[in-house]
Amino acid sequence: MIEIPRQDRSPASTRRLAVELPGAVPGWLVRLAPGLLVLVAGTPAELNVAGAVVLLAVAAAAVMRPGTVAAALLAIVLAAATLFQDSVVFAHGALPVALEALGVHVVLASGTVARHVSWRGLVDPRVLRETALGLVPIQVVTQPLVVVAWAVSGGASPAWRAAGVIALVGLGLLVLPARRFPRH
Amino acid sequence: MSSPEAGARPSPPRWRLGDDVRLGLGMGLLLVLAGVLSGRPEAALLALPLVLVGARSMLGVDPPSSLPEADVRLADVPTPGRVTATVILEAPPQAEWLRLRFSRSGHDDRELLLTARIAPLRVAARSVRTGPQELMGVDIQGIGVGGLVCGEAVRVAAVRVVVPSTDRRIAGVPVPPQLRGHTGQHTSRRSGDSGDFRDLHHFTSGDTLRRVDWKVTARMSPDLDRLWVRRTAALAEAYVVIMVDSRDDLGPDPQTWSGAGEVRPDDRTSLDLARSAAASLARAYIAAGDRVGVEDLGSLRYPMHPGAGRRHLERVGRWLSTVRPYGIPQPLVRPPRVPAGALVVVVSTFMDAEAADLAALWSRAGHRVLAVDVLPPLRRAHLDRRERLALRLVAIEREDRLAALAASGAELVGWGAGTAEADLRQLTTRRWRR
Repeated sequence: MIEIPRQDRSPASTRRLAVELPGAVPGWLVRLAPGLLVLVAGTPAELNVAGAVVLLAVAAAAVMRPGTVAAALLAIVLAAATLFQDSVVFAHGALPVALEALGVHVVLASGTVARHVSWRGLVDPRVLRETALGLVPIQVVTQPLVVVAWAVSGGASPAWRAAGVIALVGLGLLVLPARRFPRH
Repeated sequence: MSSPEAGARPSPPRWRLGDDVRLGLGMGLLLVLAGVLSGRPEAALLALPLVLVGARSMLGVDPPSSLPEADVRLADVPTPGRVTATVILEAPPQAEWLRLRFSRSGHDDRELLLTARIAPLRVAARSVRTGPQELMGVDIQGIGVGGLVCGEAVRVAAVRVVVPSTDRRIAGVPVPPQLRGHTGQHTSRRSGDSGDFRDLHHFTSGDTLRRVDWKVTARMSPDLDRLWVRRTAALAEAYVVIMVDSRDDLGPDPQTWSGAGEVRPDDRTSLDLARSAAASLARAYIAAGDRVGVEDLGSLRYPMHPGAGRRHLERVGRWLSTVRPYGIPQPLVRPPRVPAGALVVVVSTFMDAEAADLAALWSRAGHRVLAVDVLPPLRRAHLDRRERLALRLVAIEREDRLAALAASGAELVGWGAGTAEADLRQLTTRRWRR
């Protein structure tokens, strides 16, 4: 196809199809979000130079090819940092691990949105809201598991452990059956 | 003999997992395994969201699910400059989001990611083009399970709409030398009841006493042997036939004339100008009480015979809105028939000899002919040397053709060049001689 020379094209405002979508988020922002979130999620890990370079590469991959793989790579980088830097289980307590698990999940969710968005596209804000709400069921399972794992591994008193197990079982019963076994 | 079902290939699933979901899930499971084997639950916990989300998406795939649908229709009456469409979306139950891509000729594609439960959308395009055109096409894809499951993309073909042309108000238009009928707003050479003075004549049978001019009678025949009446001219109407040459639809960019490139949406083509010129002239003539007919030189459509009145003007407007090139034009076996004494308006780019020859033919036959040139001002800055040379040759040939046309007696009106007002004013005041 013959491309009309740039200087001879009509202004971008004329070529643009205007969509009435209040509060629409520009596509470039959604596409950049996974990369930025990778950098934010990697902050608690206190990476060395090599780790930081790898993290930057993962961030670039998250921007260029958004999807689930970037989140998986981030999890591997964070896990490797944990395994190689600390010899003790939960050396810094449960909070950094909980934040990192949340970070991996946020990167995963933003990547799954960004993979359907072009740089010049528009995103309905309700999509982002639904995505944010979609984090809750998984995090409701993940975060208690972190606490329980931390407690079981010796980081808490027996009362903490019992409370964590009860919370986990209760939340699991509350959240998981809702979709697979609908009540009639 | 095998049954028809035996040889049929199974249709591919209409909904499927994203390409990298299994890979992400596998990496997560490996990380969990590594955490378990190394006795480090933190590593396993980091991969937990990946495993849970991946498992949820694999359970959520439902291949036989239906696909989304879209209905694109005009939102309101289109006008040159802005065309607005209403898009009504219908998503299957599995779809949480809808991915849409709007496309329209001359415009950039527009992609959207929407929630599946959404009110009708309004999408507007800026374009000065008129006539039949495609509204906009839509590609639509359903997305489920938080963006991890995608449906098959569906293409909704663009509907064709007709954008009417806008007409320009013209102060005065030239009339043919020969007028017809006994009604209208033009003063004819015959005597009648228009009120405009024609001549003085002696009283004959048929004249009423009311018309006797007593002052003239007293002066011309003091002994009253003959009465003199003041005669007024009759009213008459003009017949105008507008011939629209629909074979060319040329934009200002000569690179698009081959059909390879798209004309810019803010560029008016020769056919847009032709529709506008024909509609403006038709309005001006019908407003003056004349009869206007239109005919297409490029296709074998039914011509509109000369008529008058507001409803006829509306019909002419609709007829002109649908004028467009129809493939390879059929050669004309004989020129279209024109009523005697009618003024002929030939609206063309005059890029080839056919329209010019017809105009010269009508001019030689005694008709007053207006040759309305609707070639838009050209944009040459971006052309390379060879293209400029080719364009120069075409322009020289066209200028020669227009000069020959003027020499044959036709009168030129530069509608595309923007000199139409001045040209028409000059033709209106000038007395035309055959």
